[in-house]
Amino acid sequence: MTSTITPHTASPCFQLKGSMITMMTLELYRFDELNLHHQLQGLVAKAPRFFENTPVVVGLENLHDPEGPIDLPRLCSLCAGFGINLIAIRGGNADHRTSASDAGLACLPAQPASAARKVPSATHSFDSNPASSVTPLKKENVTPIHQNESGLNNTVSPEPSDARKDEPAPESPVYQTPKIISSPIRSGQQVFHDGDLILTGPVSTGAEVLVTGNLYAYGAFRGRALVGVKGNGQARIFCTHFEAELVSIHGHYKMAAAMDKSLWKQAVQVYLQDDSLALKQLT
Amino acid sequence: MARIIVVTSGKGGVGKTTTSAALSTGLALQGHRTVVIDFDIGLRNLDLVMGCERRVVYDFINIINGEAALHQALIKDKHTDNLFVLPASQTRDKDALTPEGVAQVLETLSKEFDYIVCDSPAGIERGALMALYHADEAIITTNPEVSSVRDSDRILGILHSKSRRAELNLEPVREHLLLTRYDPTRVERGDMLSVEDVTDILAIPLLGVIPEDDTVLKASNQGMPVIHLEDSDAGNAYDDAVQRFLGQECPMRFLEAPRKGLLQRIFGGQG
Ligand SMILES: Nc1ncnc2c1ncn2[C@@H]1O[C@H](COP(=O)(O)OP(=O)(O)O)[C@@H](O)[C@H]1O
Ligand SMILES: [Mg+2]
Repeated sequence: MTSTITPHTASPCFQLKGSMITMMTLELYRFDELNLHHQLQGLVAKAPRFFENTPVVVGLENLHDPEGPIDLPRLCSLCAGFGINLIAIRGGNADHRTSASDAGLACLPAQPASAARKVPSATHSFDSNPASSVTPLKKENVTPIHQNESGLNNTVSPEPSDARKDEPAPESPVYQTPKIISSPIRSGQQVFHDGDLILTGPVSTGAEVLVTGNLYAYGAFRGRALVGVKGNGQARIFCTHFEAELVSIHGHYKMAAAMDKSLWKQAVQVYLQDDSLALKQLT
Repeated sequence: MARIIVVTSGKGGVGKTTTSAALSTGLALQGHRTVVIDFDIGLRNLDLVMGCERRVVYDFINIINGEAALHQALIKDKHTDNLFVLPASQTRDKDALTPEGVAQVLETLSKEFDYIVCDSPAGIERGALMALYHADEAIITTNPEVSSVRDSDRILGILHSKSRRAELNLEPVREHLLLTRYDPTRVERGDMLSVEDVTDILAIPLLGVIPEDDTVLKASNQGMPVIHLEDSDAGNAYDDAVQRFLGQECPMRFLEAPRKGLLQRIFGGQG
């Protein structure tokens, strides 16, 4: 289920793992140094610590002139002047990619138009400033910055692309409603859901529940719970009545025998912390 | 249209056949036209428990293969009016049960009877699947031990996914838990699961608890469904279960270990 590659040595120094990271994207419309400088200045003045330690990807899918040249080393140093740390470009043509490698940037594949997830401006959170403070100055020169899910290993985020096709405004929030199952899940049954899953009935010993998102179980949970199965280390397991045979997040697992018995039948959450599973009682 | 009831468990030897005989007899005694079918092809023991083994001429497989007419194979029960037995074949193997054949037999019987009770073989293979496929109601026969409970859980999952009602997305099969061979003394000692343990795991309504009782074996040796024996605890518990099945309320009995008398407690004796 997980894309974990373990080298065949006695005590490996590393492990390769596929993972999904949410990253800031600077979606470039045109490379106009002077205007860019202005806009960045305005942005950074209003949210000075916004970019601190934040890797940023330059999205080139929406360039007004997709074939026009972009001096990426210059863009890099321009951004660096404002403390913005560019790490990669996404999309672009062959010239852009050559320029990117000159600048020491990685190249990510273009994101399909439908997969871009726009977070409404109201949900932007900045360290010190209200969200409205980043509204760009000149409308025609907009370089919106929004969060995007970007797979570093070519994994496309599991977005239902058709659900969004005739969405009127790109600014409306996107919800992925969790699936709810109320019937018991019995021994020998396997349930898979792409997204978050809520279970209101019991899950028996010998049953297996696999989800890509989070799992919320309100009945007795006696089966096997595997979350983040497509590589989401942020996924969590919540059980109100915890008696799981096995829990697993993003391929890190723990069997019942290795679990703290004081958690038995309690309300418990499971999450990944520093690459190991944490099982904590919910109080 | 008949209600089709499957008596099933996953595990063998838990009391499915005993239950099928008692339930069908109980329903018939209440005036419902009832037929009980043995799906345990190759073993054939429902007819022994019902005491009609000497009258078997044709069986379920003969009907499916078109070798006899349905009315030729149905055996009228000698103890109870309104009750008929469709015996299994001892000589054929399970593959003789075809989905089309079973569907056709049940459809025909449906027109003439109020209840069709299907005595399922053990396991989760073909025979058991055939027996549960058409069910409207399921009697999940379970002993108070972990392996039996696990198998019952498994069967419940199959009812949810492989029954006709599940496949056609109809109202789900009504599930009833029947806890059999319940021995309160052993439960108190912790050797066996309690009623609460089992209902907690299986999470389906409890139809009844049948105590472990020697009269069951005695009755089946006589070819007489145990529900006919008036001073049998198991028989009385089956009576109660039938009442509940038909919608009557009646309190659970036989859940407590018999208390020893004062003299027995002082001088010891067999519990
Ligand atoms: N309540 C009971 N008390 C004692 N023995 C029982 C009881 N129920 C069933 N038995 C015995 O258990 C054995 C298996 O019963 P049976 O009904 O044939 O089970 P199955 O059809 O599930 O294989 C038989 O010998 C039967 O007499
Ligand atoms: Mg049997």
